[in-house]
Amino acid sequence: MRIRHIATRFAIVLAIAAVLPLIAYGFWSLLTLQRGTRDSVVTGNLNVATRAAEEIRRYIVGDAEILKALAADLQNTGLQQWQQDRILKNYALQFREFRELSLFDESKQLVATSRATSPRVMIPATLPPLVDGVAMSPIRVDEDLLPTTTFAIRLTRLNQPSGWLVGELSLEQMWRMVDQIRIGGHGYALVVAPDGALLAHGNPDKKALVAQSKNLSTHPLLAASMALPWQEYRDEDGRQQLGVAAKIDTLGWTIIVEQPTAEAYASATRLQRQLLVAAALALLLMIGAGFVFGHRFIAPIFALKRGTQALSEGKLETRVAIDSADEFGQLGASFNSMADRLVELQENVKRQERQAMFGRVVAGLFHDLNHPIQNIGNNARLLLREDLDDEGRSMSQRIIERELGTLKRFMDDVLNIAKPRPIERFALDVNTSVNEVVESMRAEGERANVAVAGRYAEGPLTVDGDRFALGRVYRNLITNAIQATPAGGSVTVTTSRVGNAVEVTVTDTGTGIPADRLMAIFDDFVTTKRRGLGLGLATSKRIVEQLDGTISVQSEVGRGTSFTVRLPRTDGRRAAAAAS
Amino acid sequence: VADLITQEGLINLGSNGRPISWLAKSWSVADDGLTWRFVLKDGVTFHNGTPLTAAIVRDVLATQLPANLGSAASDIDSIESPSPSELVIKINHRSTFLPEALSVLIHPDNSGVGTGPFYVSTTGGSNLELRANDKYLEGKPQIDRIVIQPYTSVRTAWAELLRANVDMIYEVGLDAVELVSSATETKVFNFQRPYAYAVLLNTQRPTLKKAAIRQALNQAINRPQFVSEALGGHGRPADGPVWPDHWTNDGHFRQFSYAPSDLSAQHLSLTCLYSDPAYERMALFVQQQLRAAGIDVRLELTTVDEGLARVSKGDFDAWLADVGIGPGFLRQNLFWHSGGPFNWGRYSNPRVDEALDAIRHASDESQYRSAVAAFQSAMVDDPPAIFLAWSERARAVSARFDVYQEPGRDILNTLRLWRPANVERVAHN
Repeated sequence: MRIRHIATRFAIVLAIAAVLPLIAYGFWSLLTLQRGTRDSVVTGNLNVATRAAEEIRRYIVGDAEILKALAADLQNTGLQQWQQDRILKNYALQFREFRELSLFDESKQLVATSRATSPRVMIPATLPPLVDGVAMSPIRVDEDLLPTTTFAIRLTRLNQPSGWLVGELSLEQMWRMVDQIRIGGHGYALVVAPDGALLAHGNPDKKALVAQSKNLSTHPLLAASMALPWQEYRDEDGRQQLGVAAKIDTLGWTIIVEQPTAEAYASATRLQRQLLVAAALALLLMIGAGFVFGHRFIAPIFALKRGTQALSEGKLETRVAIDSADEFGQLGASFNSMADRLVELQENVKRQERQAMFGRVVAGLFHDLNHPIQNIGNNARLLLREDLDDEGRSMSQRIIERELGTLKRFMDDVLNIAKPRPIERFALDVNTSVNEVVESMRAEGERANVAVAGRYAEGPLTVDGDRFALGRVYRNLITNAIQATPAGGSVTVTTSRVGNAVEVTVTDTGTGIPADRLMAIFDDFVTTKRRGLGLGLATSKRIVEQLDGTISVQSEVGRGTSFTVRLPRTDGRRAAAAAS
Repeated sequence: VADLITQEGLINLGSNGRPISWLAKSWSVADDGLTWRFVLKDGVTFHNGTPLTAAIVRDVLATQLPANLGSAASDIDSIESPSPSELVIKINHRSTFLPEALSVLIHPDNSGVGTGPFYVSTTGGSNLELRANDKYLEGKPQIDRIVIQPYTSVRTAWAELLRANVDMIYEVGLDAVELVSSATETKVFNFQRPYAYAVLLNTQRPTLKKAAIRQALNQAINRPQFVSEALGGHGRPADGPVWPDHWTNDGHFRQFSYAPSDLSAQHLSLTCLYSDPAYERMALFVQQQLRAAGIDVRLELTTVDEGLARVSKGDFDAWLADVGIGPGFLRQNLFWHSGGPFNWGRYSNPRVDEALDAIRHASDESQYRSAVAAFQSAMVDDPPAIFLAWSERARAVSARFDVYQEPGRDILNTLRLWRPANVERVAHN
């Protein structure tokens, strides 16, 4: 596609040079922002999960430490059973996370318990160690089908086993801690046992899952190889979540922190939106500024274009007003100088044309008048001679009359140019009027050794015309043809009926007229001859057009020229009238 | 629970101790205070279709009021029904206890057939099924059927609520209120009950005969700490026997203070019964605080029936229970007046008796307020029990229901107005 306007080109150049790089940079920035935000959010959430894991580890280990402290109290020698009972009860009151604390002797008999009734806990068979000296049972569901676990510590006295201290941990107390782990408005923490059992869920909507003994072993963060401690996935409710996981190695538990991605990336999304809006505004501003400044920049070019166009239309008075000191200003000044110079040149040309025209008119007048006047003079002198016989005298008189006729026609032509004579319209037969002229011109053709012939269409070819005016047209055309035809050539005049028109064609076998001059030959004072005013064709054209006809020319240099006069044909009634 | 939902009384007591309308549309008292005239609501029928009449109410009251009023029943002269909608009670002494006693539930012949928004449809096994009363005067309840199912512990109950196996639990354990509250699928509603957690003392025990000892026991209890640690913050310290929201209680009554003294020299040892496993933490706290004062307390868990049997026989030292002594003074009279039917500790104090009698026969509010102040003062000087805290109960309901709650009141009172949470949406759709 061709770009026709400089403004469009300018805008495209501007877009390619400035806007496209800006847009590319913007996209790159957005992508970087997205990636950076995601990394930042993931890192932040991972930190939260890690801290939460550490807090929960401390909570559990802290409970183990409480049990150790209790064990230390109970191992004091000399404590009575009621004292041990009181200590257990005081601990249970003080530390609500223990649903029960019970002390057993080496034979697994109950010694004391925090409960007012019989204990629920038993000495576990084998327990994996949690912290120094304290073992922790795997997570199990209790009689209320809620997850629970048991701590146990082996008591010693004098380095000999002396019994067991067993405590049942209320994991519901841990729920409070998990409830407080929040990210944003909808980010919550989950605590999952090694076998996938859900121990706590911070989401108020998901509390029931704990009571329902939900197993999360198929959770994306647990099912995966954990190569990545975070993932984006769709949860059971169909919401896209960003999940991060942190392990509590000592417990084997996993802390998962889930946050809806819409919320996690909300600030980035907001920032992106703001950036996009800002970029769009900047772009619009840039385009606006570019339009204003560009338009102002291109305005001199447009002014020059308009000026040039006006000059080409001949409005040489056109000048451009470019008020700047730069190259455009200089160009504008040059343009105006050029226009001034053009005006001068045009005046010169006109003056030269007038002089040339005057010369040509004078030369034409001399040529057209000289020959008849000389003939008249010569024959007048002959008539004055006594020795001239009657035949000679008669011939000189005819020549004088003929040349006087020529002079009269010439004067009529000149007069017709200056003041066109009104055309009279009468029905006439073209064949008749053409034949008259052809016959009268045949002698002139013979003198130039040019055969003048007429070929006429059948029947009368009636037109509304002026016999004398049309006769002048035919004579001009035939005279020109004879003069343009070398000796031995021919001039043929034909008439024809073409539709509602009658055509008269004068064809010669002369030198022809160059194509670049064809258009001007009907103008006044234009001639292809070396001499003469060139009024004949101009007068002929004016006459034909006054009769609502046309005159045209076809010519080929070296082969000849053909002039065609086309006149509107009248009907038969008028033709009959003409014949009568 | 079923009684609360299926039956209604003549009038009820508001949380400030003032009577409010129930089955009685209006009432008036003669200038001498000896004739009470009640007008029943129109169009009330029992679940079996029998219209509620003044004669039926008269017969029920004639049977129930003596037990409800205790010694104050002697104030009643006659109960008459001059018309089907008009009931007249004539008394021989002014009695402020009468309106309190009229909250007795009206169900003829102890049949359980009441006028409430629900009726018992089937009883079998451990479950009880209630159905909506289509003819309930104030409109048919939105809920068609209620199944009441017992659980062995409140922990089991709230776990079942979280699992969506039940829609409401009667009581959320104090330890679990926060946990259950934090779940969006459940809603927890707390309300103050006119019940006090108290350790009733058997004043017939030699060790507990002295008022000073019983006063010292009260002073050994740090009540705010009790509320905080034993009740998890869900309750109000019971600084005296008078219901804190009663209209007479302007906060200037004498109160129990926390001023523990060393009673170890007394070599006191007592066994404290409690009949609800959920009270264990409270019992342990009381035990800890009294032990700190040098009193050896042994805790003993009994069943409710066993506990009541032993207490009514006087076979106890102390009994940890929540006693319904508010919001008025009729029940205070039943518990603490000499010879009162619930005065299981055989407590007797002339000042207390005199103050309760003065409350009972007060002719105007000034006399009433003075008598209440005297009662509280006498009780602080010679307490029949260790007053711990006014209890707060938390009920939990599945979020599937829209619960209409009146501020400070039990949501069971508005059960007929509950509806499935999506009813309105469905209706609009």
